[in-house]
Amino acid sequence: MNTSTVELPDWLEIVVIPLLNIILALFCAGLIILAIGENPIEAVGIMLKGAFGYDEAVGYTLYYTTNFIFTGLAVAIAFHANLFNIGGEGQAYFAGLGIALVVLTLDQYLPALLLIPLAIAAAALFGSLWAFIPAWLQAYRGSHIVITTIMFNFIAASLMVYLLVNVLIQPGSMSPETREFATTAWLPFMHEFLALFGVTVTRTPLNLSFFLALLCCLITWIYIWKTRWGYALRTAGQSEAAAVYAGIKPKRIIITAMCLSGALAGLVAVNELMGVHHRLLLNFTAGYGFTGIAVSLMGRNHPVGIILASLLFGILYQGGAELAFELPKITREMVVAIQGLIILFSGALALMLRPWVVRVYLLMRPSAINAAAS
Amino acid sequence: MRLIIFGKYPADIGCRLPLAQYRKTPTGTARQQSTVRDNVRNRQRVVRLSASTSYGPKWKLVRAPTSRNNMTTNTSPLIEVRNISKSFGAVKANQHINFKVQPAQIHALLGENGAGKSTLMKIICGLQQPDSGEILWRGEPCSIASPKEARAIGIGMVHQHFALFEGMSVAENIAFSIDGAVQGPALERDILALADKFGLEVEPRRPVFELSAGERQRIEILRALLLSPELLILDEPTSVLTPQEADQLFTTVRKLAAEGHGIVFISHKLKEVRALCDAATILRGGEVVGSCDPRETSSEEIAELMLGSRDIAAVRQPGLLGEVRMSATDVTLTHEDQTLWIDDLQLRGGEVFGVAGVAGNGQELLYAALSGELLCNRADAVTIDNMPVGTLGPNTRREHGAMFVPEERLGHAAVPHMDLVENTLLSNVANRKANKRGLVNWRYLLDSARGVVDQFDVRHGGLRRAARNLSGGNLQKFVVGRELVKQPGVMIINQPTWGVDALSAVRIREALMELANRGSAVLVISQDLDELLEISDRLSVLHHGVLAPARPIAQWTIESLGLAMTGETETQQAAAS
Repeated sequence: MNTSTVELPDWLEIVVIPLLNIILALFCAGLIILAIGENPIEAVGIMLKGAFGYDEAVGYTLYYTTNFIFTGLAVAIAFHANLFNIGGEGQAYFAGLGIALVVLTLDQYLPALLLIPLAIAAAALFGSLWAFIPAWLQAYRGSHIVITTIMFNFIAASLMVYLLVNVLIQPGSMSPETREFATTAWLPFMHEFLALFGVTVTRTPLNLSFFLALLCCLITWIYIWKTRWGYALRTAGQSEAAAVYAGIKPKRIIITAMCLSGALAGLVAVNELMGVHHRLLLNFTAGYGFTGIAVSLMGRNHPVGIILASLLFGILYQGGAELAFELPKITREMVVAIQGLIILFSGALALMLRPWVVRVYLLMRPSAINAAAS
Repeated sequence: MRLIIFGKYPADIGCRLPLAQYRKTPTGTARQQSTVRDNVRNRQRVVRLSASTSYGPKWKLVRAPTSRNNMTTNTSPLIEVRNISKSFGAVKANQHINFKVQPAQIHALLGENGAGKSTLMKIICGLQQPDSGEILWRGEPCSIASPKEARAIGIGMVHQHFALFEGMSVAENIAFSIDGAVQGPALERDILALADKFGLEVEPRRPVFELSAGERQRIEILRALLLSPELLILDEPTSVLTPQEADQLFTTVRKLAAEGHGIVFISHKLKEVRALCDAATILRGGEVVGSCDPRETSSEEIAELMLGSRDIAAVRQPGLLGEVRMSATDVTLTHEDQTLWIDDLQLRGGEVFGVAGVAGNGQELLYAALSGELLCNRADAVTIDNMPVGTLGPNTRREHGAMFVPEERLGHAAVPHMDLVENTLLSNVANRKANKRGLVNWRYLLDSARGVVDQFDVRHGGLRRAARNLSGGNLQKFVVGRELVKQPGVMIINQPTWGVDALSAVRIREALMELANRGSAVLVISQDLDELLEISDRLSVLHHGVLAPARPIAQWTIESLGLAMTGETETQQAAAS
């Protein structure tokens, strides 16, 4: 029978199937670890301890999580409009330029309360600008968004190298970086913030942009499911003819969705530049934009799912680094392979287990077959 | 299984020449001319095709249908199904069905949508296996495990939706269905011989995109006949035909029956069934509720069997014509190679205005022009209650009291993967009650959806289930009801009852007439002439994008309408005859 038409209860679709996918991926990863002669159980233990075992680990995990939330949301919002934004990397990178321009120009004059919002706005603006061009090309010239956003990643990378080497570089410095931002442009670290309440934690890169990420999740959720604009976005994504019937202009939706997507991706620069590095430097995006695709796929394009998936990838990043450190046989590349397996099973093969789940479900609940047949 | 190559409504939009040139040419002159033309154009193709003329081992082509029928003297039916049951979970699609077709019989299979006709035919064609019961072919039990086996024993089916390659010629399309067993001139000879025999006029070398729905259907019938079936199933064959084309089809069907073929004729249209068939089996709710000789049974009796004891006659009480509620003047609109011309269209309050026409003659454009999905370049080209709205989109027109229902319910009037509440928002995006400052009022929409569902008897598995899970008829009731509850001053509706079961269709038509009775203007674009004649006050015809001047319903007859729909004027016809 055709199992794809059977409706499953939400808890099966949202919780059980993704969980099974992760377990399957970890099982395969375990086989690999076994094959190179290490104990997979021990490896998992090290990984979890490395991600959660002490407060510094938690800080790092959540710091990575922050980036994944931004890029995951970016991919998700475009995905709801049936657009595949692979350009999160370039948009985040270009957003860094926005921050640098605003901060380097104004950090001597403005107080933090004005400068920080302004810089965040600049990040969002530059991110969406970098997404706007592919969006416009898609809407009005028919250039495929996947191709153009990939190309824009390369353009952003080249542009930033040029600007950092030739224009923005701190005079007298050898490394291609801008001067350090004034402290008025720094987002407070979490350990500083918590210290205000008398809580002492170890110094980590985790900063207040984590809250910004959670806020973005909430706003995205409201936007997509509670506003007419989000509805227009989903409608245009699912059925263009129906959107036209509703008086929605699909071309404009392409532009809006991509700009919002770019803005969210751009916020990665807030975390990285204003939260951690306090200067514009090369390659600060470090592949977060691409991992966002996996995060969004795994999180079913829903903010809550994206938070959970981001956390999982945060664990993999942080715990994986720890694992490579503790077990010499497991190299950094091996950790990447494990991440790849998780992406493979929960992204590309997300629906592989569904037919079996459906069969088991129908065995348990024969009455559901009727609904399937009708 | 066959591929469905193009959508639901095969169109003759590619036809650049007047159809009349190819139609009804008993003298053969027009046809010869065009064959000469085609010969010149298709010379290359002919050469290529004739390069590999070989009969494959698999198919045996029989130019004339088998004469086995004439030799068999026993009177056992061609096919008999006994006590067939088929369930999908708890849904009993077929229950203890008994059904038989004699050789040379035209047997009608009647029933509402969901009555179990399709399931029964799928079982006979080998697409589905029955849960219980047996099938007898010529009196001997047999099992039909696959469509291939069905074809092998002599069961052919002409589906409602054509599966043809638009860019290929008639002969090439036919060659495909017999796995290329015969090609080139030999195949053309076979086609023409068979076509000649049954009055199925075709030109093997014409590309399919030039053909009308009727001509396309003839290809499908020829395809089936080339495999020399003894039982031929026609699934709603007239739904896309003009009356004249349908008449031609009936002649063919009668000839086939006279040759000894058994025919199963599936239809919703009782009038045709009564004119054509000599036996009828009526299904309702998966069971046989009766069988009769349709020639001797009145339409009312058959309808009652189909629907149960319900009144199917809706009564139109013509009201007084009011003010002009909507007008379209001097509109020329081109979109994707199709052009629409409206000279002067005036919809008055209190009337149902029908627009007839064969599919693909600009119905979509007319709908789009009036709904604002395509914009005119002048504001006063379209007015609603004297407000110029020609350059304004659907939502502004909705604010002025016009509501629209497009033809395609899934994917145009409703988003397939969204639930009914979300789909209620689709035509309410600009409705201030449905969203305040951009925030959607889901509670209002839930109430609204519930109201529609209750008022129009939409059977659904829950308002939170996706629209694609509703049956066609129920979804249609939903999308029509969604607009009707807003009490629009102007209602534009395209194909209101396409593919909808009879009872739902009656409800929809009644609701439209009631709306008109309350002073609104209703424009109905439909291919169902009976429907238009039943509900319209005035009627116009759309042919090749031109909207003809409207006439009161009393001044039309089925014949004059059919002629108008094929682009022939009555005077021409009179001159010709």
